[in-house]
Amino acid sequence: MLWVDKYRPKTLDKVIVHEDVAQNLKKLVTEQDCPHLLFYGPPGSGKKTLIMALLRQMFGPSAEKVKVENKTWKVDAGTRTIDLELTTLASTYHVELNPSDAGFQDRYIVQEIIKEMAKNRPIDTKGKKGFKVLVLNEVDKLSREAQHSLRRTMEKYSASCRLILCCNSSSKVTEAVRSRCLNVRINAPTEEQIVKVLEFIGKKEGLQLPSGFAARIAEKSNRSLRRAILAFETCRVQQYPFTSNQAIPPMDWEEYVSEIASDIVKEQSPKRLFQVRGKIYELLINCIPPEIVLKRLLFELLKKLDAELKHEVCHWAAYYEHRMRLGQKAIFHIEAFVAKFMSIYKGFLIATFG
Amino acid sequence: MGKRKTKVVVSSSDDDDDDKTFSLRSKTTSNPKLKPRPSSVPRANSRRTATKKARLSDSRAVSCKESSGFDEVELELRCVSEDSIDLGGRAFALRQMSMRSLNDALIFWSSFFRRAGKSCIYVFLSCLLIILGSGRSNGKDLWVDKYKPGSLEELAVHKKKVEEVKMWFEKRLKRQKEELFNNVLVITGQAGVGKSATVHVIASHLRATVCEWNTPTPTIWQEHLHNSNLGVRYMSKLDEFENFVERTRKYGLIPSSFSGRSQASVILVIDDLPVANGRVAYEKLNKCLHLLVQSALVPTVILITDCGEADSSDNSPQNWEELQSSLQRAGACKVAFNPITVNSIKKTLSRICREEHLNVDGEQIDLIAKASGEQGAFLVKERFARLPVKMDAPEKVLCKAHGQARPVTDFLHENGNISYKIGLLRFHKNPKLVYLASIHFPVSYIFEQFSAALTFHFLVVLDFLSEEAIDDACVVTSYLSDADFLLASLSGMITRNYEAENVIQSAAASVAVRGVLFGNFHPLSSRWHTIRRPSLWQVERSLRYNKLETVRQRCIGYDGMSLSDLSVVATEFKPALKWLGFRGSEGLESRNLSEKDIMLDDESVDGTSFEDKDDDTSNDEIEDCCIFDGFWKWKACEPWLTIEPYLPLGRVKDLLL
Repeated sequence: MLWVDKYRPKTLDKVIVHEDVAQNLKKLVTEQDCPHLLFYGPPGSGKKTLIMALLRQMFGPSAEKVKVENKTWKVDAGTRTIDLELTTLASTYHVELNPSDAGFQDRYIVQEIIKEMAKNRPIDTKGKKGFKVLVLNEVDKLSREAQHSLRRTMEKYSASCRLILCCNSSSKVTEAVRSRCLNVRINAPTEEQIVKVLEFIGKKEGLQLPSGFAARIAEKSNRSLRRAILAFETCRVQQYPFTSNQAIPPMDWEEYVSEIASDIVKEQSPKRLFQVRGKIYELLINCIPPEIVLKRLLFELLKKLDAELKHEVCHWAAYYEHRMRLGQKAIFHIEAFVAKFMSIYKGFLIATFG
Repeated sequence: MGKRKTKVVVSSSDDDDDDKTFSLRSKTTSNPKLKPRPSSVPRANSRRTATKKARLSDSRAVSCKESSGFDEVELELRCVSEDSIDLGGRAFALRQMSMRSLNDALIFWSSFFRRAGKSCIYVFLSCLLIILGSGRSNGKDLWVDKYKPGSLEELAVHKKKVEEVKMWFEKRLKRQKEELFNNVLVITGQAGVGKSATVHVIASHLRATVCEWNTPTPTIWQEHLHNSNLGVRYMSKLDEFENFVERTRKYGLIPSSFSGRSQASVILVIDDLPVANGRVAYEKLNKCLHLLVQSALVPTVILITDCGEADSSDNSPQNWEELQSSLQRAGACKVAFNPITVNSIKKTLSRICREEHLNVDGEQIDLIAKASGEQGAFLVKERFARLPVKMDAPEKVLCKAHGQARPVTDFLHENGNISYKIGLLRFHKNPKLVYLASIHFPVSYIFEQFSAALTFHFLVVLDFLSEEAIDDACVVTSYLSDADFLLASLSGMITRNYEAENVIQSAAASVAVRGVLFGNFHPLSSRWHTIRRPSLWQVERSLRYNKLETVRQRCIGYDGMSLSDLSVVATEFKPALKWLGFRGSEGLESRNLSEKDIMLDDESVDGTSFEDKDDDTSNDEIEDCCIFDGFWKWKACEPWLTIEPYLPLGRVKDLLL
């Protein structure tokens, strides 16, 4: 088992990082009237951990007995029926799913499947009317239509069903949905908190942590606890008695991006652009989200750049990132950025060195 | 020039005015920009084609092709009027006309190349980025039209089938009045196997006149409204067909179109049946055809295009099959055409090469070296020649769509329908499109194709930029980015407004094309180029595949107790697991796979296309069956089709020469 999972706090009491949030959630559960919840925050901040702990708090340990189901739903969409394959994870009390998996058909999932799930309420062993919890991930990736249908579902079935929504950015969730939920912001843990967690894990694993090592990992992790713990574990595998200046292995795709960046800086020509395109394709094929690719690329490029150009390059990166979000095909925009960069950079080189 | 005259003759006498202006204008414009034709042009060649054309047009002059003449006139008028661009101020002009018709861009482009001393035609817009051999591209038509089979020998169809059809015709044409035959022949076969070509050739061989009934363009709702406002009663296309059949049954063929030649034997060709959507309509069509079979007076040929399995999303194929069998039961003869074999395609191609005198001059070695690619290019052309989709539609539609800069609604009301009509007229033989159109799927559809074309541009553009021109690349890519942005901007809306979408999409296409034209200040010299599929499609496909894989793996985090986000799995868990060594093999595997997938079809279009085919079929399972996807699927089955539409190249060239 990965350390990320091994040392994940199982209950709200054991939470180290967001103790205050955990306590509030606990209070919420004990009051018996849990509203719909919307968790949002950057990746690796502990949203899922809190949700899982919350479910356990609500339903006891049996909420952890889950079953993964991969089911094909037949949805009747007016003139035709659509087959939708959807992975769900369910215990007796809750169902978790990623409605955005269905891409542009996500609204059928919300309209039909979630409604179906929300309708039938479980009966408590004590005969009390219970409620069911639906955990929806990546709500911010849902299309506008789907979010509107979600709002309807929330209203209609609020008696029998609670929704826990989870997303990275609440700005992409419509106002209508947000206002029907209790919004819980989970901010990224500070580096000190990450160091604390790493030291806790190190102690549990019986590892000798040289001073400053945990801090370095925390710094590299970009304030993502998951990244930090994963990196910590890979370091452990790589070389055990830790040395304080040990190299922290980067993610392979990050290395790839920095390779692309150095390619770009080395030569600026359409031919090179073509090669870069090939490499970006490869990243995209491996499901690395284009936004992350662009962001990382900018980051790598900025490292190699003269301060004079930084502002302009950032501006264009932002411009094309915005375009990318609005557009359909990410590659166009990433490539446009790369070309822009090449053009700027070449102009700069010619101006300085003649 | 001879061709142009015949065209005027062909166009129906209703639009006299148009004809006049047309001929007048064309005279004025063709002069100033005339450059002496390249002297390397073989004389014999041009003469031969000319005579052939004369023959062809002779046999077709009487054919009652509705409204095609009119369209051509329209288009050329536009070309002409936009023709007065100041070629010197290239950049300025291009900027200025950024929202005007596309054709000027085309003209512009070609003339630019002409001026640069390379009289090659850059079939850019068409996405057929083949540069026809420099100095020799004096043909006025696409080779598709130019090398339309003129005699029985030239047909690429199997001899036996041709013989069969010929026999049938001979029997029918020679027979005496009192003999009772069944006068209907059903020819089936996939798109582009040469059904109509065979009929036309045989007809001209037997000196019979061909009269065609083309499926009229389906009416869209907007058009219907417009018409009913004007007091024109709506008439279902099926009804029209029924009327037509009724008429022919009773009176033989329409006398008006046969003035003076009525003694010649006549063959009626029904080129694709009208769309019957739903059971009732289908029954009606069936009944109507039954009647036709039983009582046709003139030899009638019904061409039915097999849609193939790609159409399985709707129920029309079964219907078509049913229809065929019921026609046979009624007594019609049936001849099924098989797809053309590679050999016969090759033969045709080599004939074309010969006639174009492609391997006479110093480029021989070059040609041999690039034989495979070139062959591929020709092959594509050849295939296109036989494909039902007339590829020049998007440009026409675009040209219309950009004609005016009036407010959108106004514009839609007036021009939307026209453009739509023209677009679909070109597509009339394509069953899938007509089917879609019948369910009120308007032009945006064609533009959807265009957006694919966009992808294609994108792929090839970089190859045509010279080494140093990174600035150009920057401009080009930024325009493409804009275009994508435009294309996407409407995709998320609940109520799809197709008309608005049209405009946006055409604008996007225009931005893309113009951007590319504008940006490319330092084009490379012309060279042979093979056509490649946009690797973006492959990338997208394998991305989808990988995504599905990742979805299955998403339980790796959280101890299987919760689902992780896709991006998290891809960016964090997978690499970490790879480092840690366990379950890492999966990740590696998928990476290898993806590398294999994005292999570019650089070397030969020929070889890889078959691989692609396999890919496509396996991929079909993954794809969703929404209508758009269905179309893509359909296209994917025909690898050649993935390379998108063309421009009315012949016409642009006409103007330039």
